[in-house]
Amino acid sequence: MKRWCLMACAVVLAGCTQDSPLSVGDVLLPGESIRTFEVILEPEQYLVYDTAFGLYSEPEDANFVLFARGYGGALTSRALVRYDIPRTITVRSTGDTLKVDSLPRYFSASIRLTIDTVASTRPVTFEAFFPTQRWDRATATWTHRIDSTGVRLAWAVPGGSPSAVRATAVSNGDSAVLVFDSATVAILRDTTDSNDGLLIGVQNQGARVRTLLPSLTVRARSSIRDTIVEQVLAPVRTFIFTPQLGSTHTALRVGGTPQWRGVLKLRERLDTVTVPCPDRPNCRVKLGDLSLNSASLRLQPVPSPAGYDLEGDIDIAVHALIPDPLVPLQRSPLSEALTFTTAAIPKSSFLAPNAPVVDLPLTSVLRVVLAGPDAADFVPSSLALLPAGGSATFGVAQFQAMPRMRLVVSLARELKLP
Amino acid sequence: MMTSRTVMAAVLLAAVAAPASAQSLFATRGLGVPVTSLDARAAILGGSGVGLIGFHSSLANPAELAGGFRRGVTAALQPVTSSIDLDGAEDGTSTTRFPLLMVNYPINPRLTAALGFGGYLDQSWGVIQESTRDIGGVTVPVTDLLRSSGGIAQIKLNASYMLTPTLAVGIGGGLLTGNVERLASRTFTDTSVVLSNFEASIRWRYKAPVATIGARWDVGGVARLSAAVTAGGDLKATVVGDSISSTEDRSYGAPLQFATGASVRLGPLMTAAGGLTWDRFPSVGNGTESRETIRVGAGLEYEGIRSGLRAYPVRVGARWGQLPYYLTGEEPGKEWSAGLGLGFRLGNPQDPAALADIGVERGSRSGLAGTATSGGLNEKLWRFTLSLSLFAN
Repeated sequence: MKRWCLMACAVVLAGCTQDSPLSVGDVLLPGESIRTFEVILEPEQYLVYDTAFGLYSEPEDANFVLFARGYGGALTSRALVRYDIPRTITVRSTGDTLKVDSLPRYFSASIRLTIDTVASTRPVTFEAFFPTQRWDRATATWTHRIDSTGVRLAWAVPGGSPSAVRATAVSNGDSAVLVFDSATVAILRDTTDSNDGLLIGVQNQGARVRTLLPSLTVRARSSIRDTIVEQVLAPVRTFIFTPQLGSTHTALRVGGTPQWRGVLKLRERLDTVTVPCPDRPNCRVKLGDLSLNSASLRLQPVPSPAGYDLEGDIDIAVHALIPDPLVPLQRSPLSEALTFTTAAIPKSSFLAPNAPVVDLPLTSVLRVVLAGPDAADFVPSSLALLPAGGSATFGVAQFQAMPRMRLVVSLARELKLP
Repeated sequence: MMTSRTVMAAVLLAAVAAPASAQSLFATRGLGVPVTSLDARAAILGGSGVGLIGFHSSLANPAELAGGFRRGVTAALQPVTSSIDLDGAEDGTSTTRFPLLMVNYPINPRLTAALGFGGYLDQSWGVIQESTRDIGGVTVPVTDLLRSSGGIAQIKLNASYMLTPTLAVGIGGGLLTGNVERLASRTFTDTSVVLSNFEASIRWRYKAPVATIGARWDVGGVARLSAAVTAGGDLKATVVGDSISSTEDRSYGAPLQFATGASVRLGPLMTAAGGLTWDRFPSVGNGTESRETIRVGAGLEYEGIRSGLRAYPVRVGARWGQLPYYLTGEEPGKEWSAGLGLGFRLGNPQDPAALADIGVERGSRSGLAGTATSGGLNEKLWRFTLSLSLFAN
């Protein structure tokens, strides 16, 4: 009896299999069972507004400095650097002991400018001056040496109130070295002197050069023994430029220094927005009732402001703005990057009108949005466009305001009761 | 014995939990393809399951339970292999369904009850298609899958009462019930096109009450006549899961069935059987025609091969039937099959200790010629039915 029962079990369980679908028979099903189609959303269908804020990552935070003179017919930029040259040096005396020398004699210094990107082909000539007025690293601009809340002091001469030229250097491909004599070093060491650090620019009209941070190499002779000590000093730095772009703009901007953030405020309940049914007149369907295959912002690049074209190609990331009623929109914290451009946008797209449209993927974001307000703990309502990976640029990627959105959606027409 | 009961219960649960799985493209029409809930013996001997001399398991006529004196369980398994021809395009599939599970419980020598679970309409089919689609001016290769799984089953509690040694009546009641899940998916096979795949599904549940009355009359010890009528309420479909949009519940027509059959002993070792079933399946509407159908069948059984209390019956038979559903403008479908059966019986023919039967049928379904397919759909099939009945002492 048990054997029969076990055999019956085996036979029954052997039947629990899934059929393979047939490769014939689709003609028996009325109409196109699954319809996939493109929907172009006009900005007024999904956007409340868009804007751009240029408030983030100021020049003193950048990991580069920018030099320019009349670049693009407009941009001029100089670096302000300050070095804390030590009062003492440490030398190894006889007996292999270390001794502090409080009377070192600095006899030379140099700054190596390692070129990161250059927007001109010819050799570039760098020039160094003293800024003849004291300046504030965090707030100095082309027009003002201090521009903080309550204190606003203009340069006597816009652009850093330069002294006479103290040194020049011609780039030899990827770098240039500015060499300073002992008199210049002495002034740099004198913290009471009105000449506050160095002001560095380029002489070539139409040039724009981006370099790594300019370190100062100082050389001192010891007063204790016959030895030379060489030290490399990191700069306290910023760069000042003209013209400045302001802090808000109606077009979408991404990148730059200060960094621009393009912001898009989405309409509430996008899932209830209706679009025409494909091939069926007088029929509309809610976006929330469709299955999303892809979504992308159709960004139309427009030429960057004069002098502000990108140094290189740019990847863009989309973040969600995390709303806080106590924080203004431009200061709202950001989520992790939600999605990225699939390929870097060529810098050439921002040099002339009518560049190819860029599709910025938004599928994962829209999937959450179209699922409705109850489908997730956090449904993004505002999106921010930033350079991907925190990469810093001086140039600005600029796009036409109020972009369209492209959706590819599917619906199953014959998925219904018989 | 307890272990055997436990194993039997496991068999039942496993089978009931597993959805009946079958595949016919005729099931794309209406509420599907009719499934006869029979054991292997009845399947070969005409397919009506009514009026057969000797023990058999069927949900069609509760009066047929009379005469059994042992508790027992019957399970049938039906592997089917089909080849499909649609306007010259061919494919094939293999599948398995569970047409019948039944537990018999004699209450006293005159009264026998049975709880049965069997098929009624099968809606399992699946179609996969590779093609290209124009999406926003770009031609994209796609693979579409449409799959329907499940169907409508019947659960019945039947009881028979022997009024006299030759006349029995029966009554039964239960539900038509079941789940169907339909899934549609589209896979974008070109990975350079950044499109997420699409999948949507809908699942609904059927329910309708049904009741059966029937009678069985043994004539002169050489013939048996039997008939039953089954009627039900409107079949209701309730959506229980919908990933795409709200779909409203539906109500269909009520089922009605008249089944009759007879068998005659042509000699001490030979029996002839035949049956006819008239059905009015629940109507669908919305462009789907629902017709009243007739199924007829007949067969012969030879029981000359024996060994002590063991018998090894040999059976041949054939059946023909109409399929109920088709779209307006299409040719209605029909099916036929002819089969050979072998059995093993231990004990009394009317009250055996164990039965094991196997039937092999070769058949076909055809129809649905119309605007969609000029040549119609032709399915050729091999259908194997295996059933096992075990009885307690």
